[in-house]
Amino acid sequence: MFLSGIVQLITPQNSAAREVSLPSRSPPTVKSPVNHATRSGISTLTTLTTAALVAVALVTAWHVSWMWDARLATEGSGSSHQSGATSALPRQERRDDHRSGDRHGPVFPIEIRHPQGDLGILVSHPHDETAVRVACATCHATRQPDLSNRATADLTEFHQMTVVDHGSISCLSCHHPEDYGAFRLADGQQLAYRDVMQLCAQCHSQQKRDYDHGVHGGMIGHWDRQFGPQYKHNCIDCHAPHQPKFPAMQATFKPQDRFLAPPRNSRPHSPGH
Amino acid sequence: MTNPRRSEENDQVGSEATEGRSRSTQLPIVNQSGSSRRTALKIAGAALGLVAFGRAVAPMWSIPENISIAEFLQRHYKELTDEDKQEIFQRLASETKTRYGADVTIVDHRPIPGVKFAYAINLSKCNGNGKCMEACHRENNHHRGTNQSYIRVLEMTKGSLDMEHGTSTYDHPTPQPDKYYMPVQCQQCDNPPCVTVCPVEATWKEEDGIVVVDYNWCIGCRYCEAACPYHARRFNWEAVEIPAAEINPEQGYLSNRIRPQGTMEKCHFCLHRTRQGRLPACLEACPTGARVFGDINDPESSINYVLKNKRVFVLKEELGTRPSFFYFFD
Ligand code: HEC
Ligand code: HEC
Ligand code: HEC
Ligand code: HEC
Repeated sequence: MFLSGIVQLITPQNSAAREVSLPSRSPPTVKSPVNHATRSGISTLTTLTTAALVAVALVTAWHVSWMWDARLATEGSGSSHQSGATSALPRQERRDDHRSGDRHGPVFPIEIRHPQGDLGILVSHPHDETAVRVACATCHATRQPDLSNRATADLTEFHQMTVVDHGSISCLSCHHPEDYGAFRLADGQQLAYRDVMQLCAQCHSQQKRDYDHGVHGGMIGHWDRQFGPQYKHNCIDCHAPHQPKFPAMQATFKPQDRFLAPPRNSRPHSPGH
Repeated sequence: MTNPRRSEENDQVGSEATEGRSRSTQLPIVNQSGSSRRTALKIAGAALGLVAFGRAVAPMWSIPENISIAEFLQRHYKELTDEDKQEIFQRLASETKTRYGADVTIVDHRPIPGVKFAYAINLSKCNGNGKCMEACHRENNHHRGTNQSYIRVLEMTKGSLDMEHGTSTYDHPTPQPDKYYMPVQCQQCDNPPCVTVCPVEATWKEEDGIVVVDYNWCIGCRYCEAACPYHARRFNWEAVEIPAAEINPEQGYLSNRIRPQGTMEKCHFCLHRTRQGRLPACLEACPTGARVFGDINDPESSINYVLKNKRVFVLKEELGTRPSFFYFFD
């Protein structure tokens, strides 16, 4: 096979994550329980920069805010949210009664980060070792899907480094056997990479419901969208799909607390507790 | 006997206060009409006995260093006209420029009509990573020397809900299997004991539920610190030091402007952000998404979703403080 010289597998970088500079999760290949450094979370600085950067984009795009509202509402229901829809604005009417002045415009959007581009893997080029992005179809277009490959342990040829620790569900309860660049919903429907949250939502509806109400997954920006937009992370920004457990962290900032004992000098601790 | 009342009379400013400091004689005697600060102190002093009183207000002795005459003459926040405020904010900004070398704007953010804020934390999500404390530290121009922050993340043993048994000094990867993590900050009580005990009305509750402090009016007696059952108030023992480049220039008079030494401060729900529709800094910084903030008067808000759908509790409910701050587990 032409890629037989692969020496290294790297997780695909979500290019979109860079663009809006929302924090990216650590690559699933990092298995250390303590990876607070790589998985930097949402640092205030990034936050501010992000807000500044994205604000510019959003001012131009804010007339589509109704669309976004509608879109958030439909996200859970499985309908495609690529296209816009006009929507009534119940929220805004409610606001009007206690906000005087000329803030009668529509509310700003809720923007969820979605992965962009195609699902693929980064492999190092056999000759010069530069990273090359390879679409799943490169190999799978010509391979019969093997339904008996349910877990990492079943793999003998490839992907053996793909560690999956996510209940006991099979690879193909998420990946679509006819198009490995897409996902498979329980009813067999194909789901674009971009819409991966719907995949999570079908098995974790409670979390998705909380998420839709701003009570799971956090947010950045405005609590009151009459003033400005709100940004949210994708499920996969916090949960690596193959190992969704939220990783351990280590607090790096300690106030000197008069009330409780003073902090010990923060010496790097061995994670093997 | 040292006289702690820094303002009573020029020549009586306590000797300890002036030791090594140059401001011993410049303090003006003012007879502000309607002023209750000094009288309140006098009464309190009489009631307590001077020795006890002196001890209680001891921190005041180190204040005069950075108090300007203009600040001293300033009237109570609630009596200030808009022009007064403009003047004061400009003065404070220029003082910041002189002392810290940073250009800042100080604004008087007022509550949004009809809004009442509430906060909730999902203790099943919080993993004690402390990013909220750090975000608060930076956002609110806290003293760098002590890593001051309005938030204290407590490591708690599962099964116990008593915050007095929590510790904030843990130093290991989190979450530990037998622990949970509980951030505690000002609970913005509807019945705030800190406000009641303040002898000079330097702290009060505003319409949107935020309990604020006028740092220029505060005399640093620390009664409020003692009165707060959540240990949420912080005292500026040291003069605030921050490198100019790290100063957050977007400041609010009642929130994150640099506080004078010897005054009390506390979480104000980032009112300079939240009264402009933005989220508090600690919420944005939380990597686990454990924090929920919003308008409790808005039936569709996230915070109301929490109150309706989760089993929430408040800290030390038995004290009747009626916090606007809720905790829940999934
Ligand atoms: C370099 C070629 C190559 C690329 C690129 C590739 N795969 Fe595979 N994949 C394989 C091979 C070979 C197997 C069979 C492994 C085995 O049976 O041990 C396989 C197996 C699988 C399986 C198990 C089910 C089955 O049909 O065997 C899944 C799921 C899978 N790949 C998903 C993906 C996804 C998703 C991508 C893109 C992100 C991808 N693959 C990219 C070569 C590739
Ligand atoms: C819970 C659903 C789920 C299961 C189960 C699952 N995957 Fe994935 N997989 C995903 C998602 C979602 C992505 C996209 C990850 C991203 O964008 O960061 C992905 C990405 C991949 C990729 C490309 C990037 C990478 O992380 O390597 C490969 C290859 C892959 N999966 C193979 C597999 C194989 C093989 C199995 C079974 C052993 C499997 N997956 C099981 C959801 C799943
Ligand atoms: C086919 C159903 C299915 C899909 C699709 C699915 N999950 Fe899961 N998920 C499970 C099961 C089953 C568990 C294990 C539950 C248990 O152990 O109690 C689980 C567990 C989890 C956990 C808890 C992990 C832990 O150890 O604490 C998280 C987080 C999670 N999933 C996130 C996701 C995300 C994010 C996605 C989308 C990429 C996703 N899931 C897609 C079925 C699914
Ligand atoms: C800001 C990061 C973040 C985002 C975004 C996020 N989660 Fe979580 N999620 C967490 C944390 C933290 C936990 C608690 C720790 C754990 O159980 O791993 C958690 C827990 C879970 C669990 C385990 C059960 C539970 O509630 O404790 C599931 C399932 C889950 N999330 C699904 C999702 C889904 C689905 C989405 C997208 C709609 C999502 N998460 C988005 C941070 C996030």
